[in-house]
Amino acid sequence: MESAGRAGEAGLPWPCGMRFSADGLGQVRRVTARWAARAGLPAGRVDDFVIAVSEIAANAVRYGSPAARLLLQVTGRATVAEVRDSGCWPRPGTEAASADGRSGGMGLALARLACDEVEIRAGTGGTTVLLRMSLLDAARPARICAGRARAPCVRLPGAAVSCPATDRTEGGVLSGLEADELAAGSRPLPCCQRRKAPP
Amino acid sequence: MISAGLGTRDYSGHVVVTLRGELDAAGAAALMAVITAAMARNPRIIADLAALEYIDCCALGVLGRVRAQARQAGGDLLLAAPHGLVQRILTLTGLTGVFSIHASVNEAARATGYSCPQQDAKVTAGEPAPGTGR
Repeated sequence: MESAGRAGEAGLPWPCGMRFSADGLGQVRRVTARWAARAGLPAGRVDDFVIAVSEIAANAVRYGSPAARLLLQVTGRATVAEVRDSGCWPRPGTEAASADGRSGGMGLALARLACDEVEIRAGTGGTTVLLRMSLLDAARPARICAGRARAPCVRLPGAAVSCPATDRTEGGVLSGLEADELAAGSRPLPCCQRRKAPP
Repeated sequence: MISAGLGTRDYSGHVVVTLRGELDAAGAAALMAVITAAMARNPRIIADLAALEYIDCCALGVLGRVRAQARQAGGDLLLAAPHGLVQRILTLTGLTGVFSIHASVNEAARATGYSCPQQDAKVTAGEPAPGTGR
């Protein structure tokens, strides 16, 4: 399942790709953790990267398509996880209307809190989510994330929306979230989940 | 999915639900069923997370619903011994300010100030005696 691609930059881990389905999310987390540590992320940021990848991977196989693909690579000075499926998500309300009707739109919101940037590219062939974690922060301790104030989303060309997750402080975007809101999925979708309809 | 299952036991007037392994959407329904059954007996619930390595948003939602239902029934759902990625997810989401979180099952039970000696150490699902956390 896990496979190495072409060699990366000197001293950096090779790109790593794997296919996964809903019963392979644990493997996704373990592969991501190993790879991100080799890429040079400190332990706390490895954890955050793993959380982000896991939540997006779960959304991909839950709302996108039964099987999806993960590609891990270093681009520039960042670790990048690309999660690609052949479905179409997120649509406003999609997650709240999931199989158990209860999950809310929390996975994407959590990914945004956990990693530096989330970019969603949607098209007729499926949905791709890029999760970036800067390696320039490697010397810093793991950030305490979640901030009520955060950077505005950057709308990229086409159908993508990018949300730099900066200006984080303890207390969190979700700190006022009541547990029943979380459970009932009644919380509005964050701006990161809005995107233009595919052309 | 839940890689190693769930267990329940009675402890000091509470029902302790032990979550183990990795818990994501595939295991959320089983978690809901186990906790709902436990809550029917006693709405004072402690979720023992000492052996839980991961929990995703869907399963967190189950805990949130159970907490709301338990409180409506006059009880509560407390979390005991979260660590690692589970603790980090609770922090990231701000749910550390929503749930009552304790270092161990024992501390959670003490924090409620409620005990029912007749039920102490009654094991209902082949569980060992209550531990002190992770």
